[in-house]
Amino acid sequence: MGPYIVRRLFSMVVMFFLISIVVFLLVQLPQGDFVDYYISQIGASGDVGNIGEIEAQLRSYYGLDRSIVARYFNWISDFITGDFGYSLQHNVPVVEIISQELGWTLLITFLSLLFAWIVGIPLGIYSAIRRYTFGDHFLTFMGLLGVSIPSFFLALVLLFVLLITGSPNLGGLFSEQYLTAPWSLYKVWDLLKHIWLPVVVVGTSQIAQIMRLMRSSVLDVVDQPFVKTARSKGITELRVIFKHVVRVALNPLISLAGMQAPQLISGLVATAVVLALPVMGPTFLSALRTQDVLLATAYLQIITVFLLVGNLIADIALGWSDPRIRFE
Amino acid sequence: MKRKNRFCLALILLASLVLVSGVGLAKEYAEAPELAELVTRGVLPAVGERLPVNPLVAETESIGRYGGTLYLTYNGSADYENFYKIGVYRPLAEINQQFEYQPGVIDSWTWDEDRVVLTVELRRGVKWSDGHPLTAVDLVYSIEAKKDPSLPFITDRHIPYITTVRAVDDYTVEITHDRPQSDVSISGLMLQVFAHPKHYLEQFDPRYNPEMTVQDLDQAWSFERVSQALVDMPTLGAWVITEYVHNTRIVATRNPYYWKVDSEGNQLPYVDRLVFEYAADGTRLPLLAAQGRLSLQGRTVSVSDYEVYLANEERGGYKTVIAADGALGPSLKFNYAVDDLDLRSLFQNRDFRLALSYGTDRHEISERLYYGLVEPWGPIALRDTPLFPGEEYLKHYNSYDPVYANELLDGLGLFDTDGDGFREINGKPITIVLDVDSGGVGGATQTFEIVASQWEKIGIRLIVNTIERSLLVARWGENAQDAFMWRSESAMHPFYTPHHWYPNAHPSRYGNVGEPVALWFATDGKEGVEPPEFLKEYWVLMDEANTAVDTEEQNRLGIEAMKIAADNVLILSTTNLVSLVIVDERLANVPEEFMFTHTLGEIWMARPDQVYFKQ
Repeated sequence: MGPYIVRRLFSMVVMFFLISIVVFLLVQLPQGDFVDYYISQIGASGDVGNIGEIEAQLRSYYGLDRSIVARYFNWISDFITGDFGYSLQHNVPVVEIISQELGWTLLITFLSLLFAWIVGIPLGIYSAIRRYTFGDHFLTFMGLLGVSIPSFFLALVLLFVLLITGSPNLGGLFSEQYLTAPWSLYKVWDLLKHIWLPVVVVGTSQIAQIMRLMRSSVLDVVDQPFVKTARSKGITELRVIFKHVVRVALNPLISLAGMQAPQLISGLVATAVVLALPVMGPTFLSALRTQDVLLATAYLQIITVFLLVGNLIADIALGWSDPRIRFE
Repeated sequence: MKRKNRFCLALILLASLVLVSGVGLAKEYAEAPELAELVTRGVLPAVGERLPVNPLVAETESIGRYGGTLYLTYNGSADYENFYKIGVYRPLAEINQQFEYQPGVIDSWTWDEDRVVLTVELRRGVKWSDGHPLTAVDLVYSIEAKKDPSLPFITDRHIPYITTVRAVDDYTVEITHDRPQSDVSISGLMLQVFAHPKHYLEQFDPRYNPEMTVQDLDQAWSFERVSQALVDMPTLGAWVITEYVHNTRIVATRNPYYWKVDSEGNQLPYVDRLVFEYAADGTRLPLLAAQGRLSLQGRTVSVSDYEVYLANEERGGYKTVIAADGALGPSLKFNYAVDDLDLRSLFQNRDFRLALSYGTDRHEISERLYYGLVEPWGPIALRDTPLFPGEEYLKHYNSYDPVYANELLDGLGLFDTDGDGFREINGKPITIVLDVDSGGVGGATQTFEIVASQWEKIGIRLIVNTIERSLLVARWGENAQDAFMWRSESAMHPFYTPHHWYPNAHPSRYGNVGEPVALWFATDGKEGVEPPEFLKEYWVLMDEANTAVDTEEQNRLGIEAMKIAADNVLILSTTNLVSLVIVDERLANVPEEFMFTHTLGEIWMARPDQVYFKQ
């Protein structure tokens, strides 16, 4: 197990730097820079006269006049020490913005994933053991519906339903009176009253994937000799399924989980705009729009870290549960 | 006897004068109950001491009562203007709907003979929201900081025109310009936030405090950006930001030192506080309105949601007010210097532009996108404004006549030779790629998708290329565009944003004729691409008008230029615009009609510092 983990860790570090180059270049790819954006903002509201004169000064103040290679090395060497640079648009260090949003992003992502698993796995098992029945077809249909409805739209529909039923929930994570209140049981309760909405909305898009994967995985396992042996030993069907089939069938889902977290974080962007969530999505979107390069790259690089760490954990979990993998 | 009488009369006059001014001095001011309580507790000076010597008296429709919260939204850290427009920050002067400056933070202003030196008098005794007096020092500090090249992040569009600034005494500031100024050209000085609190900012300013760096000042000043730094920063506005939760909520509470009163001497504002909820875009606004969570909102309210707003009026307890907008709707701006020479020859041809205009059904746009609330409009100023050239020019070429459009195009020898439905020039199909700003004007893409389908009937292919704003601006600068879409801002008075109407500088941002043409004008024809004759005529008139210091002369020249623009279809404009403003039905003192436009301060025209909640 030891050498296996070391190997995985090493490739993770290499990947981190390779991806960082791609991310950095990608964000800088569009024409124009923050100064263009900034001046276009001033220009939209009135005569710009000869404000172009300060363009060069602004560029040098923000360090945008240096070569992209110099900027990359400067950025990456700061990044690994935890200094993500300075957000031009928000006028504060990037760390400050991301640290305010990271916690909520992770919490909502984790809960959505949990929700999707709790709902998706039993449904997948049910679909598999009741293959080609009405129930299986119905669940498949609902699952596909869940995948195809854009989550921001689902969020709008749910908000509208809430509005008609007279619920005061209008998105966000807290009611007005608890927003700045210190933590208390009431505040947690208030959070729970709000957070289910994004969790359900974001989780729904994942249920189908989990359900379908679980279904095919169970079907793969259910006819294998060891299951037949278990059955022939006279163990009850329920025990066969949960003790023998599901345990093995979960393997592909573990590797899926490693990829799902970053997927969910990206999937959260449009939903977060609609539901006014204090997560990283909308900030990333506006960072791209305003060419706030360091904020946008930091966001992407952090997702990269999630992806890498998620994969590492999934790989370790797989290696632990399936010895064949770690000796590959 | 006569002399004695006169003496008596003089005495009586003098006595009454003393009496009147005495009454004036002894005038009783009233304040919000919460402030009165602070005064009794000794935390706050009495209202009379907090107000200036001569507070600005607001002519309100009715005398209000104190209390209540206005619920609003903001869309992130770039939304500084939102706070300025609702009244958290105030410019030097006010402006009325007739585009005349009114006293505000400054009491009066005078020009020298050449209109180069502007002398402004600050209202005596105005205090910052922390009680520190506002003096000439603040204004001089602000202008000098904005001029300082070592602080490029603090600037303003009027700054390049200012050569020197000098405090004459505690309340008088002399501002010298590099050229004569008109009333319109100083709008960047009069209507932007120009006085910043020196006593507060200098603690972060490396020029005053060597322990600080330029970045510290950048962060503390938070120029044109919304951030935590704005909490408790002294302001001259009606409210002060007191709470900031990143991308969630901002709260502003009453400024106890606000310098305005109503006609009975009650200190304004009436409303206790403002709550700005974060809404990254307009999607949530109809829902917020339906929940009664929008009290006085015009920003990011989309006309395309009109029906939704109407349907929920009763549920949300609000009215949907239709306000005139100061801009024109989405307009197509031709690049008269486009690199493709065939296309350039077409754009420079009046008959071609005319044909495009006749091939555009503006009524359909109004009906399909704006519920019929807007009317077809040409490239001219709005009705009832100083530069409107007259109804006949409004009707020029704005009617829909595809038959005539086809005749014009046939007349230019442009035919569909290969039978694909589109006309060709030199064997190539005529294709116009229109760059549209994805984030700017709501409905721009939809507008031109409608136009594209209309132009199919006249054999012209229009491709709508929706891209990001900074990319659009960069492409414009590189002359990579056939045409681009922008709202014609300041249609209520083009000289507030002349660069949207004619290329007054090079490189220009948002020029409307093509960058090489702007270069041609900037170099007196030595470089760049020569524009068609009408454009030269138009440019000369616009430039003379823009630099004219006399308002009447400016208007006269401007109207002549507008006529040329209309006659020649300078740009393909579609319609005028309206804005929707959501107004809580319990609010009083909101004007029946107002124009919602940047120059007039958008929602400021609804008088947020004077509105109040009825019982």
